[in-house]
Order: sequence, then C-alpha cells, then structure tokens
Amino acid sequence: MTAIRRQSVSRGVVACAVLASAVLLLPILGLLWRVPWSGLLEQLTTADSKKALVLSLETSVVAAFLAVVLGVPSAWMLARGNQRVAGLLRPWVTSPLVLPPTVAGLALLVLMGRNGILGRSLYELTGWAMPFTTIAVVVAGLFVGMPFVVLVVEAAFRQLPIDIEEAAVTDGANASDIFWRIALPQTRNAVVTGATLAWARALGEFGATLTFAGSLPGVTRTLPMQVYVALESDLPNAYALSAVLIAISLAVLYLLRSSLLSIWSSR
Amino acid sequence: MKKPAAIVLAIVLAPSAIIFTQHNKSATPSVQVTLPAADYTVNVFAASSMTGSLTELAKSFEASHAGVHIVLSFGASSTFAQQISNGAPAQIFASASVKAMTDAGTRMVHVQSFMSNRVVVAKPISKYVEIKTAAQILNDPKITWIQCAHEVPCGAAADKALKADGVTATPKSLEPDVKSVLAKLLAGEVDAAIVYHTDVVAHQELSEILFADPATATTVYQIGEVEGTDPEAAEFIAYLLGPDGQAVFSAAGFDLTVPQ
Repeated sequence: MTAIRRQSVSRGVVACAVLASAVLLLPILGLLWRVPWSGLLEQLTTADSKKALVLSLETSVVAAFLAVVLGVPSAWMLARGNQRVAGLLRPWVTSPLVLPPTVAGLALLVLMGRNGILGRSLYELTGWAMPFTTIAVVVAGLFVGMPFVVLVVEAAFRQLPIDIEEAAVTDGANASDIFWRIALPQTRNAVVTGATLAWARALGEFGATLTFAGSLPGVTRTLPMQVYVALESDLPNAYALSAVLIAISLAVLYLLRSSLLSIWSSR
Repeated sequence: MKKPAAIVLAIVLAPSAIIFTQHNKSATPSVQVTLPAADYTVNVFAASSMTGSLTELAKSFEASHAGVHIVLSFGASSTFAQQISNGAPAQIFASASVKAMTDAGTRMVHVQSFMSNRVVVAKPISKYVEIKTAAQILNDPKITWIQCAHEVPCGAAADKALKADGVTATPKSLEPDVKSVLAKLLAGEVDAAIVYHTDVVAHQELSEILFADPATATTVYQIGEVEGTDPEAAEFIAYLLGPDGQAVFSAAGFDLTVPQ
C-alpha cells in the first residue's frame, strides 16, 4: 500500500471492512469446510447431480444468449431513443432485479400457464403449454437475467462520445450503421459483462423456475433446486453441489474483475 | 448530526431494534415463574397438511389458556426434521411421517403416533367423472399430473401407492412440498395431482380418486416434544390429542385410527 493510501484508511474503516468480510466470507468458508472433498467426484456424478448440472449449464447459456439478443437493442433504444418513453420503460425493464423471484415466477405462470392470459390460447390452439418444460426454465432465466444486460450495456452506450455518431451521420450513415459499426464495437466489453452477469443470474435462479417450470430431474430441476432437494435427504450431496455453484460464482467475478472495476470507476 | 442523516439513521435503526428484541421473545425461558399471567410462547413446527386444523386448535387453546402464545410454523416435515436436528428452537414437532420424526433425532422425546392421512389423486370436481381408478387417470397420456418430491412425506407415500397400483406414467414435476402441488392444481396448470385426502376435504372444487391399496397410500403422523421443553408445551400436545383436537382433525379428514 502506498503511503497516501495508508493515510486515507483509518482504523475504524478497517474494522468495518473486516466485519463486512467476515459476514460474507465466513458462511461460504464454513460451507466449503463441510464439503466432502474426498468423495467429491462421486457426489457430482450421481444420476440426479449430472442431470442438474447439464440442465443448469444448457438453460443458463441459452438464457444469457437470448438476454443479449433482446437486451442489447433494448439498451440502445433506452440510451438513444425518446427519453420520456425510456424514462417510463426503464423501471419496468429492470424490475426483475428487485422483484422477488417467486413473484416473477408467478407472473410468468399467470401469463404463460395453461390457464394463463396468453397461455390459454396457445394451449387451446396447439395443446402445448409452457410450464413443466425446459423452455420454461430458459424463459425464467431470461426474465431474471436480461435486466443485467440492459443495465450494463445502456450505461456503456450512454458513455459513447456522441460526436462520432454525429460525424457518421453527416457522412451518410443510417441508424443500422451507427448501431452495428460504431456503437456496438466500442461496447464489446459491456456486452460481455452483461451477458456473463445474466448467465450467472440465470444459473442461480430458483424461485421463479420452481413456480413457473416445476421441478423434474433432467427436464426442469436445475442445480439450485437439486441442492434444495438434497438438503432433505443427502446433505453431503447438497454441500458438493453448493461447492460447484460457489466455484462458478467466484470464477465469474474473477473473470469480470477488470470490467466491473471500470464500470464502477467511471461516473 | 445533520437532519437528513439523523432521519436515515432512525429509519435503519428502528427495524433492527425491533428484530433484535423480538428474537428473544420466542426463546424458552430458563426459569419457571409461577406468576399467573406469565407470557409463555410455544414454538410448534408442523407439517403443512395440518395448517387449517392446527391454526383453529391453537386459537381455541389460547382462548382458554391466558398468557400462552402458540407460534405455528408450517412446512415440509423433512425440512423441519433437518432444522430440529441442527438445534432449531422448536418446542413441539408434528410430522407427517414416521421417517421425518426419526430424522429429527434424539432431541425429540415423548413421541407418539396420533393420526394418519391418505394420499389420493385429486382433480377438479367437474372433470373426468367417469374415471374410477388412480391407474386409469394417471396412466392416460393426455393427463398432466404432479406429485411431491420423493424426499418429502407426501412424495414418499405417493411413490408407494403409485407402485402398488401399477402406475407406469411419470409426473410432470416433483414439487418440494404438498402446498405447491395443491397450488398448481388449483391454478388449473395440471389435470390431476397427488395430494392428501385432507386437502381435498378442504377444497370443495376438488374431488378425489382413491388408490386401490389403502395401506400403501397412508402416512402416519407423529407428534413429540423437544427435550427440555416446559409443561405448557405438553399441555398443548395433550389438548391436540384430546377430544377437542380429535374433533377438529376428524372434521378435516384425518384418520384417527392409527395403523400399527
């Protein structure tokens, strides 16, 4: 630590920071302490564990991809479009960030369930309903993950120097050109960050998935759900699967360390 | 301190103060006081299938026993078993299966079986009236049905009954407890669901199809005290097992004859 940094950090601040770290670190370290490290591979390769791992990875990746496909254009519209409309739309589009997951799941069920507002017509026309399918898991992941993409990418779009776009317009660029060839290439970092956060959020989703998609191994029972079920009957298995989720969370945050730092330091 | 900062501090400190003082209220008092109007709290963990009946019984017990507060928590018995064996501050545990009570561990004393419940196939009352057997409705490929997860009492009983009845079809979901199974059936998201007989009794819009073998479809409810609990808790248990309790449980659809 340089001399000036040492002088700026008082003992009181250090004490608070130590306490904060303890509150966050000790439970996770405690859990890792209980993980059956010697039998870990065996725990992670039980039939239900494998199904949960594969399902979680597949659905979270698809959800993150869709979050980018739908979220990035939305972020562009919020950044460059009619600002009054954007101001009204933004709380709704980012609401899943604060909405309790079970409420999100219920909302999806009310819309797309067999008896749902849209789901009923779908069911009557095709005999197919979204609940209890893997698609429902993806939709739940998309619902909770997309706000991260919109938030991060809109912030990046807003920081782009507007004079480059103005110059491009005078040179004959249309809206599509500005989006694809000027804005997007400069915000690659933010898109990757948003996608990664959306992926991590979708991977950890529990309440919305349970309420909307149900819980069936191999179809809709994701890793967090498998942990919840394992709590009842097979605690070592629950610890082992939790270790996987912790490892993924830490890996994500480590990979994003410089991106997150740059988001926080600007503005 | 500036005024806005003081307001923010007050808003933050007030709930914290409430939370920290409330926590102590539910702890078991370590000293027995004989003052007549002493406030005493009994923490009860109970299987969610007893929600209606226990709530009613707790109210009538509190009405006749001044100063006693019954705090009820409802949920999956297997979850409570885990919590109790890890030291949760319950005084009474009423489980929907013998296994869950056993899993609660050595803290449970004076355990006894007191009633049983059957799992049944529940469906909307106006639909599938011509179907008479569980296997017929569940094996039908056009029927969407769900049950509880294998690990919870409702699911364990369902599995045994399904096997005995020769049901080969699989459910669309294995929910973590019977409340969520029932919720999805009532919301119309599934055609049928395996829930308790007491759930069908409680909801007039549902009717049931029984499993062929009642013995396999039955789960035995047990109740016990956590060791070191004071007499007030035992009084409540006695009340539940007595004529008042029996009347309420019986009306809810529980079977008071306990299979051995």
